[in-house]
Amino acid sequence: MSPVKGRAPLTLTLPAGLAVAFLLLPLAGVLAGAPWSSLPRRLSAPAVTEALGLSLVVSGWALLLSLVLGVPLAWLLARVPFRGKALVRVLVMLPMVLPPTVAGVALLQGYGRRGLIGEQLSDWFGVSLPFSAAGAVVASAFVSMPFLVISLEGALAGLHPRYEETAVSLGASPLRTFFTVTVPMVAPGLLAGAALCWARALGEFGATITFAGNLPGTTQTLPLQVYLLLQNDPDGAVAVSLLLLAVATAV
Amino acid sequence: MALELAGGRTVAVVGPNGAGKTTLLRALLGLTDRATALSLRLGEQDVAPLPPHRRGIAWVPQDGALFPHMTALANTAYGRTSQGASRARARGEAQEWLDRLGVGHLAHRRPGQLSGGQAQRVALARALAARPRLLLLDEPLAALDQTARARVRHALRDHLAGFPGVCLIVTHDPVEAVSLADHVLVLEEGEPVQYAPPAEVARHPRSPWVARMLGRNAWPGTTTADRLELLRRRTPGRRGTAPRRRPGSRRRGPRGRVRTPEPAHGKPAQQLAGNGPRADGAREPSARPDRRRPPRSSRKSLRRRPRSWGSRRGRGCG
Repeated sequence: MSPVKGRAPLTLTLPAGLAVAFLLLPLAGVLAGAPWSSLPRRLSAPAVTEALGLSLVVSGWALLLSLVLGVPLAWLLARVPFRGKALVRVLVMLPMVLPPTVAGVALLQGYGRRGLIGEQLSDWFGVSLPFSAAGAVVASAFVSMPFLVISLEGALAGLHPRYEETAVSLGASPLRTFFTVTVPMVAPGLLAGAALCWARALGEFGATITFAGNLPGTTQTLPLQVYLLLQNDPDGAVAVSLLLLAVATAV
Repeated sequence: MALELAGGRTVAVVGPNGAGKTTLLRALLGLTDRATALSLRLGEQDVAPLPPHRRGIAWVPQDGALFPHMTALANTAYGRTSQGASRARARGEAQEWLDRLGVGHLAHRRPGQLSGGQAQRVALARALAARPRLLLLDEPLAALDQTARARVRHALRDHLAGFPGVCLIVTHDPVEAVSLADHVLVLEEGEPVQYAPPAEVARHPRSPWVARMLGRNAWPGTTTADRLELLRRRTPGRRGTAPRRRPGSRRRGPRGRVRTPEPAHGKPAQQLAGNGPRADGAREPSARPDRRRPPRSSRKSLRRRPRSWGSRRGRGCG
């Protein structure tokens, strides 16, 4: 509802229009500069398909990891009162605001070979996270999980507990209530959170290159490839960017 | 406070906002830390130590709280499937319950496609289908408009009559309480003020709040052996000119018996007020044949009080 119908003040519309132009221009640049004629050949190159497949696998696992760990965390934050909740919230938000390269360094200090539990990981489970596809998954999940947790927590907070309480009074155990009432009722929030989380994982660059490195076929995801291509094959970089742009728009 | 009830009984819990009605419900359900039922015996079993989902206490919240992602049928079957019944069997029973409550033809609708009255019936069917031993109805008619209210009240009365367990109806509308329940429990500020059959509550309300809500006048006074002495010197019988006692003012003023003025037909007041721990109230029966319902005008004015509406909406179930 506009206060004055049909007439928005110029002082607001002008900057808003500039903002649209500001956001649109680089995207238009990608579209204009794309090597359309050689696009099919470039995108079907083995290196690109390999990186695309790896990106999908890594971001898929990162999303799964975020769901398995993040959904219960969001529920806990929204429904159960406990001490230190503010601290946990800060912890969840931190990867969102941290520079991704810092996140990568932090991951190395935590799960790296000489990190806090890196030795135990390799001694007990034979797992070495840095410079492996699993490491890329961990890096992506670390950076993208907050998006899921935050948006799901918001959805849960908006859901009145009386639905869950009614379900419990009808004889459903808390776990059953969670899956049959809570999850379906926050499905839109969960879906939005998962989409954001997956998109963020797909685009993850800084933490991945710092923690998992840039090994073609193992940890070289599409964003990393774009960066590399830019140095010796700008047209190729634009082509791959176009691919990521299409995926992001679809999400 | 201790209550003992035979199966098939309906108790209404009335009281102003903040009297502790919802807290009482939530304590029975085991959903709150603010109060706990020390012992809650349903049949032979003490369910107080059990978790909420094993107590066999079904709750119908104010707006029904039907699960919006399920059809009316799936909603109604929810309790039985959760208790381990097979899907087909639960659905069959659910359909029977919906039919019994007159909403069987709506079984495949989602709650969003039901009217307020229909949704309330489905919510009731869902609670009854779970075979509870104790049924808790939280303001079952509050969310409905006038016409739906009358219809659902009738449906409620019919079906509560056939319900083998105990039913507790929480309301802040004494009219509802008096018309639906075998016994009325009046709560004020977390304390029970009166527990009596509806006729008794209507005739001798011990709480000025109930008296006022039922459209009666209650005057504070003291009864002596043969007459009534009002606390403030007023001539009895001048209805309408006397200021009604507000519940809040009761504590500040000097404590005394509450006594009604002489009824319109001039019969001298004879009934003694009960000896409650607080201000007592007494009421002469009105001359109307149906004593359970106050005059229509007073009910309407009750609904129109904006505070009453606002609090109904705003209080929610928590």
